[in-house]
Amino acid sequence: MTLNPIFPLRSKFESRKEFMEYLGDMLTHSYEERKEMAPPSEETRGRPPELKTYIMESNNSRPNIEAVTTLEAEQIPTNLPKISILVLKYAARFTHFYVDTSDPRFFVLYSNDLAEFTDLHYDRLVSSTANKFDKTWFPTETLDEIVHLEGNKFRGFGLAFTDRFSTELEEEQPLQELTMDVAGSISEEALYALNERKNLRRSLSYSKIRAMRGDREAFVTDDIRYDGRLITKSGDSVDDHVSLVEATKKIYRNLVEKVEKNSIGTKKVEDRTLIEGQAFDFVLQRKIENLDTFLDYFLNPTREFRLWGLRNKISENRRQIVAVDLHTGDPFDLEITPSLIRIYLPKGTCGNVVLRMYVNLQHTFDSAIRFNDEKMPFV
Amino acid sequence: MNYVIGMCKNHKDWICVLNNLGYDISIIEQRIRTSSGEAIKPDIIVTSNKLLHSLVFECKGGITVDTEQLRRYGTLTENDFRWVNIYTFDHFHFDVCIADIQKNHSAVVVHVKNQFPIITFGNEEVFKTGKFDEKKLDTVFENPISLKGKIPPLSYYPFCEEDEKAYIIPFVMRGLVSIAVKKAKGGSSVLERELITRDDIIEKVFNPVFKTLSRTHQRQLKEKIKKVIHLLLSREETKEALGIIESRAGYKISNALGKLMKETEKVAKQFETQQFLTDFP
Repeated sequence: MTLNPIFPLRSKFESRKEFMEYLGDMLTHSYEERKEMAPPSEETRGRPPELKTYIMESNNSRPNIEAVTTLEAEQIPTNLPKISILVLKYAARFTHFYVDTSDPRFFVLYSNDLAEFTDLHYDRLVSSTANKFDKTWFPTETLDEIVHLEGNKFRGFGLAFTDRFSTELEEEQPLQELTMDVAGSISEEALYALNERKNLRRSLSYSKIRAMRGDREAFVTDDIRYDGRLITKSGDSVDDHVSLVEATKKIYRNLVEKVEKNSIGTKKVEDRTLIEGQAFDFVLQRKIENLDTFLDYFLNPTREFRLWGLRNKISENRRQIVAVDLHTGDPFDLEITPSLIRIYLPKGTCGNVVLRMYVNLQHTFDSAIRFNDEKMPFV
Repeated sequence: MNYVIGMCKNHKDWICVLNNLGYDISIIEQRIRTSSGEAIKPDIIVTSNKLLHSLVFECKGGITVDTEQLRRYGTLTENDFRWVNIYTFDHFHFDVCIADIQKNHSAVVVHVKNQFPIITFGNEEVFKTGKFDEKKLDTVFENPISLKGKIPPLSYYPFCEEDEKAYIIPFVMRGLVSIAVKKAKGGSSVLERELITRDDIIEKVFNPVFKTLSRTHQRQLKEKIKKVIHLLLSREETKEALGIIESRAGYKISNALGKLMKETEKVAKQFETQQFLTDFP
């Protein structure tokens, strides 16, 4: 059973060009159907599927798809090197992705199956304990930079903030949840208006930004989400879509590599071994009221931070954590006070953990968090 | 050690006075034979290429001062800095400096007398006793520097072989969990004892500054870590929980991780005599 019989899977392409054209057909098919307002059906739920692209981080030199236990997974090669088909099955539903592994660290997955299933299956794939997969995590300020890249136009945004850390001790609970979608050519004005409101500033974290790329002759409009998903909303230019994916991936790689470059390690200079690197500081604009309650959520292995750790009480207002990043198994250390989270990332540890913490704190605790007392470096 | 390393970094919430003068960490706990044949083992040497100057630190967390050791420091000359990376040894100079904490300062200063300058970390401020040969350091520390609102780093140098078992146990347990999680992703088993006590594993998993330590120190530290590994892996509950993590049974992992947290607390309690971490006064 497949969800999309109109698009039978193809495993043979004459060339990469043909594969791109095939993606273009997926994109155009989705867009055309939306334009025609396809009638409701059991299969399509009244809305035609959009082309969805997922940028996934992989720390595996050779991912082990067969060992995934969170759902059933099968990888089918195509005749193109670095392009394969991933078939996922969970709860009697299949989804299909074309996976481009040209970049050995950042895989790109394409699908036009329904988002409610592709998202679910993708989440389960990423959370598999058998592989070192993770989503890509885009800080609000980085999404803002992406949408303002040369060739892009700002066409909308979404906000998503849910306070996961509020306690009864807090006298004020200014905002527990904020969800908003704004689209259109002057949507930036709505954003400026929101930023003017002092009480909202800690809760303005992008769930997505909408970027248009291209021109009248050929364009695409994509929603780029904070967890590394791009959803094509309009347009028929697969070239502009893939170009946007590549630009987004490049920015993310630079960000992660910048984090990793500054991690703490040793280096050999002639006969001497020196220490290099420095701990990162997340400077919180919102104070943590109760450190232990905060850590109960933050270090819960089932939560979005994917961390585990042992805590050591240094003082009433200070904890030291010896932690493990559960996506790779890498060890690292943290120190937490009411206004600061300090991260000691050893050399060789995947920098994605820093971005995963930062971005999820933006969405669940404090969107005004600062990285080394600046906004996250955009490279 | 961590406070001194932190001063060579650029943290907003800690003092970066040494960083501002261009100092960076050269070596940690390296035994050095001086020209007169004496052996010293400074805790840390930091060097500034800007000032062509090294600061040789002896860090005192307690009140014990080895006066014989201080005498040996007095035999150090510019010719003995072969372990240090410096732009040029022309006009190179150095200071030996004691770093201590305020509650022990009055006992330390009695032994040190005026032999070397002392940098003292208190609750509210850091201050200098004595004089540096390097004038810029004297200027920077001329008046006490406020530590109000400052957050000293504690984890650049996580632990050493002198730390008590109760303190080391969480670091070692974390290392075992790290290996177990990696095993699920295609690595080696945490129960392969020979593997997990290899130097590279110890450095990666247990203590990232392992490589910077002297060979003697590495050996001592490794022995201590091995003893704690043996202690933890002799417990059936620990082995069982680690086995579950290795097995990739995703839905059971969070329970297993919870169990390991409790195991750590239980085992550490048995050895608790040392206050956790630095008793920052």
